[in-house]
Amino acid sequence: MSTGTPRRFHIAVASGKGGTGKTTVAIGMARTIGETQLLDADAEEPNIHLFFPVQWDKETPVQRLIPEVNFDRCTYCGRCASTCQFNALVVFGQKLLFFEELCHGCGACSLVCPEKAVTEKPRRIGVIRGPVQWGRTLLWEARLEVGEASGTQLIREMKHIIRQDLPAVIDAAPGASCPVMEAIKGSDYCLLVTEPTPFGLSDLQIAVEAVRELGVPLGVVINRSTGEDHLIDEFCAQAQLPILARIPFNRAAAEAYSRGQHPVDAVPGFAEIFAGLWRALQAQLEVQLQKEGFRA
Amino acid sequence: MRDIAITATAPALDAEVDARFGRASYFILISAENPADWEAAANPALSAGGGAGVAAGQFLASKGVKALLTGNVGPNAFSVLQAAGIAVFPVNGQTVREAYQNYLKNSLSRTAQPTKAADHLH
Repeated sequence: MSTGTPRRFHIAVASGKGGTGKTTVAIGMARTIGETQLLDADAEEPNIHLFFPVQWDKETPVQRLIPEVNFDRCTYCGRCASTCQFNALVVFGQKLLFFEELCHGCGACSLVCPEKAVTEKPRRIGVIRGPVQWGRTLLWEARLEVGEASGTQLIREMKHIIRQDLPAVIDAAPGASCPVMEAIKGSDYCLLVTEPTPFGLSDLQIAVEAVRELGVPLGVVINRSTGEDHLIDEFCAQAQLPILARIPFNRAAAEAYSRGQHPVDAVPGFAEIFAGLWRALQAQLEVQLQKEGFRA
Repeated sequence: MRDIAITATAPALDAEVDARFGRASYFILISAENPADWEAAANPALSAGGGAGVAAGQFLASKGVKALLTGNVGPNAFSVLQAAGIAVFPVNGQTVREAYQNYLKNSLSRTAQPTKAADHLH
C-alpha cells in the first residue's frame, strides 16, 4: 500500500445491472489489496462463499423492530398511519391493518401514538456470518431470511460489527435499491462494474445517478471488454467518470469462475489487471484524501 | 352519495380506465343513482415511495366508497379494500363511462381475490 492511502478505507463494488462481474471484481480487489475484509452484502443471495471453502462458525442474528398494537388502548385516531412514510399502517373506522413487508422499522408509529398503544417488538430478519479468515482475507456475509423483503438493516449492522482497523471491500447487490445504497453509503470510493452492452450502459446510468446522491466518489470498471467499449467510453467521458480498468472478455476466466476459482488465481494476466486496478484506485483515493481527508 | 370509484387516466368520464390501482392518475367518484353527480380526485398515493395500493385503499375508505372499478389490484391493496367493505370489479380496455354503465347493468363481475402479485417493494 502506498503511503498516501489510509489503512481504514472502504471500497464498495456495485453495478446496476446484475451479472456484470461485481463479485469477480470484489474478490480480485480483496486478493490484490492484501490484508483486508471482504463483505458479501448481497443479502438476498450471497455467493462469495462459493469461492472460499470455509466453515462459518460464527453467526450474529439481526432483528428488526415492528409495531405491536394494544387494541385495548387504541382509539383508531390514525396518527400512526398518517405518520408512516411507507404506508405500512392503515386505519379507518374501527380498523387498523399492518403490512409487515412494507414496514422499515423506523419506530415513528410508536413515537406518535398518543395512547401509547403502539410499542415495538423484535423480529429476526437474518444473520451476519463471520468473520472467518481465508489467507489474508477476512470474510463476512449478510444472509437475509427467506420471506423478508429488505436486507437494508442487515447491511447497516454488518458494516457496524466488522473490524474497524482494517480496510473493507463491500460487494453490493445488483440494482440501485435501498440495500445497495446502504452498502455504498459512507464508503470512500465506489467501483461500478459494467459491461460494454446497451443493457450495461442503461443500468450504469441509473447507478451513477443514485450513487452521486450519496456523495461517494465513483469510478468505472468495464468487464468483458472486447476492445470496443465506445458505448461506455462515451458515457463516462460525458459524465466525467474515470475508467479504472478494462477486464478483457476471456473464456478461460468464465470457465475458472464456473468451477469456483477466481480468474486471478487461474488465468494468466488477470493478477496484473487487478494490480493495475488497485494502482488506479489508490490514485483516486489519494485525490479524495487531498480533497477532504479520510475517516481514519 | 358518490359510492363508486373508477380509476382513470384523466379527470374525465371519457378517459380510459387506468389499469393501475395504487398508481392510478385519478379516481372518478360517482353516484350509482345519479350519473351527473361525480368528481375527479387526484390520487394522493401516486407519489408514495411504497405501499401506494395501501394508501389508495385508505383514501377510498375515507371517501365512503362501496365499489371500485379498476384494472388490477394487488394483495395489500385488496386487504385494505376488503376490510373497508369495498367490492372490486376488474375492468379492461373501457372508458370510465362504459365501465360505469356496465356496472349499472350488472355486467361486471366482482373479484374475491387480488388480480396481481404485489409490486417490487424496495
